[in-house]
Amino acid sequence: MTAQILARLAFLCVCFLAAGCQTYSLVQPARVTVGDKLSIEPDIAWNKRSIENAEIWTVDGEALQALHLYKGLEDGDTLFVLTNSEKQEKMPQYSKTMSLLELREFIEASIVQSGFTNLKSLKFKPTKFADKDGFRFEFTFSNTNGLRELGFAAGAQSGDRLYLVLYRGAKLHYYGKYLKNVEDMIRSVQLAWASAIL
Amino acid sequence: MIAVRQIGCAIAVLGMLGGCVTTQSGPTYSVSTGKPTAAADDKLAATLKPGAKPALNTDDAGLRMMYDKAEGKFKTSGNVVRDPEINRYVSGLVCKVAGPYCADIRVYVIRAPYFNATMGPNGAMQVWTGLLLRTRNEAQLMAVLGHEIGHYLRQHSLERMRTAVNTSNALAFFQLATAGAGVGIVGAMGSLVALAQLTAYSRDQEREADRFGHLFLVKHGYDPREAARIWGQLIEEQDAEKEEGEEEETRSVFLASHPLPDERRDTLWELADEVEVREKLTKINEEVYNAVFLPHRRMFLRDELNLRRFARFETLLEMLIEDGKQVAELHYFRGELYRLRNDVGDVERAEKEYELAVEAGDPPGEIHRSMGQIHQKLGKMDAAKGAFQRYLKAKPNAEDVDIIRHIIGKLS
Amino acid sequence: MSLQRGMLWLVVVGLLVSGCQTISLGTREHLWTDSNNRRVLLMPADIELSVLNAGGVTEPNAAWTEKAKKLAFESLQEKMGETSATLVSYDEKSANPDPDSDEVQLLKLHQAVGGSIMLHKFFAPLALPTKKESFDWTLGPAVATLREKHAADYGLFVFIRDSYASGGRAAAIFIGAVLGVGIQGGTQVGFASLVDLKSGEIVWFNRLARGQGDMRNEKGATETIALLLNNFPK
Ligand SMILES: [Zn+2]
Repeated sequence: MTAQILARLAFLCVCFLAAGCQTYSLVQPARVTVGDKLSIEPDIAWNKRSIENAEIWTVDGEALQALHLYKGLEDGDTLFVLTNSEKQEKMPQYSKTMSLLELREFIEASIVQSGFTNLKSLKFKPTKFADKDGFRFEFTFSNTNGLRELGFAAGAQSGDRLYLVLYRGAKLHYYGKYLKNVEDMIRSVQLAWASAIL
Repeated sequence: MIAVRQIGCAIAVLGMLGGCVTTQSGPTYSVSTGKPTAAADDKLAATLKPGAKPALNTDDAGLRMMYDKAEGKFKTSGNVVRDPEINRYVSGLVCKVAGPYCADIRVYVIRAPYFNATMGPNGAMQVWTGLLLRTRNEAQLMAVLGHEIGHYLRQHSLERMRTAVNTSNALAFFQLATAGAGVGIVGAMGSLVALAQLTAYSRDQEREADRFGHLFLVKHGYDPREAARIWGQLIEEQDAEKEEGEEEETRSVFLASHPLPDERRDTLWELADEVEVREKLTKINEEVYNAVFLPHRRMFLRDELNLRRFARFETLLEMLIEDGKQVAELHYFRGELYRLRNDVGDVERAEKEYELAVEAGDPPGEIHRSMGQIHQKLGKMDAAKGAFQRYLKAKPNAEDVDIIRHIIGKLS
Repeated sequence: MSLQRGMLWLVVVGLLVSGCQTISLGTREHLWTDSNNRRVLLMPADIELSVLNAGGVTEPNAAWTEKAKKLAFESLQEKMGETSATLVSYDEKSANPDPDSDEVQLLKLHQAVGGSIMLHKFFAPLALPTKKESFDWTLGPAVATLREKHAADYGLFVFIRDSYASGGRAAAIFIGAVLGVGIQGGTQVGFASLVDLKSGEIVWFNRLARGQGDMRNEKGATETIALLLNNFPK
């Protein structure tokens, strides 16, 4: 076999494991739309890849910091899609009837089911998200290697969907590195239909 | 390993490898004295010498090296329970069983909600909190520790590795299939060790380890029937899971290469029945056991609930409620189970469990938050408001008081 | 929530098929401004030598590993000596065992950073557009803990996996066929990175991947280390 064929095969293997096989594309600091409703205005450049119901943005690599921007979860959607089908079955599903407390349980249970440990809830507050009554809560957890991470979730339910932003990163350096940029960006979130109707 | 954990489908490959275990020949040592002993007259004879340090150029040293690295990793994973009393207690029991091997074994209590204990050939032992939640007295825990120590004394990992090395292509495939799977919280180990870990032990080795567990119970005056009871309890959980259709896919595959729980339970019963002085062996030390673990049980239960294996958890809670220890928290968690499962009638079931918990006295403060949620679902807005207010009183510094106040405001 | 852990391993294997044995990245040409007290801290070197058995199972070899670690240290020491720097060893026994301590977390963070560099810098399909022209990974200011404790200016991380075929290549071919990689007897993969203990910045990073090399003897170890320290700043 020639080197090229070998390289291609290796790549296919990697893609198979990455489940989806997208490359990263550039997000410029300007208003962008994620899905059909949500738009957001980053103030720095990010790298993004798309998964089924969200976009994942990172600057330094997803192992170091990642921003999950959900296009709007609908009944039956799961927060993460795991390659292990058995674990995926245990993934909690979103329901539009969820209360604020249930939303937190939904998100936290999803994190635990993805194999993260030592999850601990921090501040949980009501807050505006794209002019909607929303919520924000913070948490800490460890990855499978014991690296401590910090994270927060912010979002709001609107028109039967849950619009959600999840930011997480290594407690050492990487979470804090872009925290302010992420906070500012979240304040820029708009849900398109809201301005169209009102 | 005594694991009943989901393990990659690649285990199926191992079905092909059965029956290759070589019999150990070589010197054997007494577990009581550490001195050479004849295996024929000593049922507990070890193949490993106490304090043994294999020469660096042996496969044993290579295997230990990998496990040493893995130990360094899980030691800092943040999942090791550091409560001094728990550690003192479990290490004490291990030393009682291991005798002259005590100094060679390091025990780690790992915060992980599965029924599992492992023993590395380097002497690093893991006991998971999901196991401690299920063993109900000292005798049961001793049975498990004795079983794991049996694997260690008879060098089952090494034996397994040699079998693996001598077996060809099926394993190359196996290694490949598991490369991406990782080995859970233990962290990635070298391919071979991951393999040893995943392949677990052969049926014969598990049987031998069970026999060691049994003999240790008898030797130290414990009721040997407790070893069988553990399996009885697990079978109940599994049956409940099967009925609910929640059975984990890989379980049957796992069992294909292992003795069935039924078989293990029955064999352990038979062994117990054969003991001549069985009537004298009544020690289970339930009180000592409970004094150590009950103060931490809420954390274990919370982790178990997070797995959302509802049928199993329901069965487990049922058994624990029968035991009658700290039932308030058990009713609370049963309420949580129903509230999260949210099947038909679960809201009402949850409400009833929470009421039972309050009646029993001293439930976790979070119960008021849960009751608020349930009342809200049932349209009892005044009751909900009252419950949320009780939550604020019980947990004034909780991380979610702002959102609770917000919810109360909306209810008014 | 993140890319699969197993991927990294496959990426490393994938690297074997690309042409060059080493690729290095760096942010500076010169390490030293001061001529006194040049100290480089060798972080716990993760070196493992194993036999690749006929069945494709790699069996770790403790004797080779011990020897290779010693040889690697000597060779690294000599290399550092070229710029009049001293190599000091990180004493794992005296390290803070608390999983939450900066010391433990920095090692784990470096694994995550090293993995990210391998994934996003050495594997084209996963390149990050914002980092096309730059190399700016860091461990952050917490490295001060290491600088103070060891009085060192730089921290050096070394990771090497070295395997040798033990007769019979049936399984290797088997793996190769499935993975798309031809494993020729033994393989050597590894990486090294140099961290500025003032800023946390990764100032140099090199990866090694080839189908030859032998760390079991002095000559081979020296050759491997020289290759691993390819383009190491002066
Ligand atoms: Zn076992």
